[in-house]
Amino acid sequence: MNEEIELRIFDYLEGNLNEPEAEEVRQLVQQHPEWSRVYRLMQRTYLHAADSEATFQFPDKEQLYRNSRKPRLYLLYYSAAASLFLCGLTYLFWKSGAAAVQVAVLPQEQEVAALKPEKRQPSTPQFNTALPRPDSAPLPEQLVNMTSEPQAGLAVEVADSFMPVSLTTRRPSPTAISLQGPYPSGAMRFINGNYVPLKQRRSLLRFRLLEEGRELLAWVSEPRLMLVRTERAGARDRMELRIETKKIGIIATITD
Amino acid sequence: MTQEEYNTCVDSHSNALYRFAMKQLRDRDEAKEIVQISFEKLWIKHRDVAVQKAKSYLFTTAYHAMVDYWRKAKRTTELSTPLEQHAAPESSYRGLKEVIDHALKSLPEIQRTVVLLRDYEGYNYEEIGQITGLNESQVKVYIFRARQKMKSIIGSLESIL
Repeated sequence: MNEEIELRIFDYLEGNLNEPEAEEVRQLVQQHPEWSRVYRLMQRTYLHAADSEATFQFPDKEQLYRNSRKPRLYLLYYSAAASLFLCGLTYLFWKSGAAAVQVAVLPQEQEVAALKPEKRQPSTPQFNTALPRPDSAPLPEQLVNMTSEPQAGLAVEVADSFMPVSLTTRRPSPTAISLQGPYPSGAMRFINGNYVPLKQRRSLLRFRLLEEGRELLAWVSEPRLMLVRTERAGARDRMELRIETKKIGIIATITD
Repeated sequence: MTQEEYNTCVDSHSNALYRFAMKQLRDRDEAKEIVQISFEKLWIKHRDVAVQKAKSYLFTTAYHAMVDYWRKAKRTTELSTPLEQHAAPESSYRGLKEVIDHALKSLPEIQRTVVLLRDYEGYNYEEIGQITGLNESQVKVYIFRARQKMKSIIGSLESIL
């Protein structure tokens, strides 16, 4: 019964009642102090947009605008960053024994779509790099040695400090891996044998390594990535990535 | 939607979307990212999305992005030891606004979502249902449950103020 009356008061406040029903609620609230209190408290649960409009101003609005008159320097800047990064990746896969690397830098408008490989058309690469295999050894099972083990194999250089990046994978031989790192202000913890970011930062760095299709997708929505160096550390490849700026969409396709 | 209309959408909706995300996530960087993702997706689809539907598209996209975020955050929380206590001391509340804010924060995600869309954006039950994938009755029940919970929190803290 109490909940029915409470629901009636709620409907009144929501504007769901016709006039006779609304009048009944008004009478009830006037005549019964306990329902008057419920009414008053329920009324206070309503949020007022005007109270918070000044508080919540999106700080980076300029980044959201699309303006064809904006200087093309941005594109050049990103392309240059992407090129450097891809050169690094090429080197990495060369070190890993991959046979050839085809690289395509997507136009900016296709950046997000690049995350969906099934919808991606085979694009004409802006540049191709085919490097000879360093020796005749068989191709490794995985393009980069990614395991669900505690990994010291990957590091992201952020400002002056190195921060490890967590690799999340559900199986030892994954068909897809997402790699995420922290913002410069982010932090990571070593938990259960793995590095886990204290706060998930989705936009910093995303990789998908698709083993079967021998395909690597990299998406960086905020920072610019530069591969500083790579080296073999035992069975693993070690990468050092420098993060400098924002918004790159990259696809690197690996073929035999 | 033209490029000009898209830019108008940025002017009209970015603050509201940011508030929606901030109230949900309580993290400036995450909220910014949700807004950026939503507008990025709107831009990709801008030729197919009518300008009248842009706001709804943005909020739907933002909501889905936040659902993904919550899923990931829950997985991380399961692994990690909590570093900080969630409950703030009651004596720290300075006024009704903060009490309401605390009450909102204490709601389950879906209840908080429907209340925010209802109160701040003025959506009706049907529109909220379209954004969240619920039917109208579910939306109404979630809003009612949310207000009941907020009411009891406000009531219990009222005497402290």
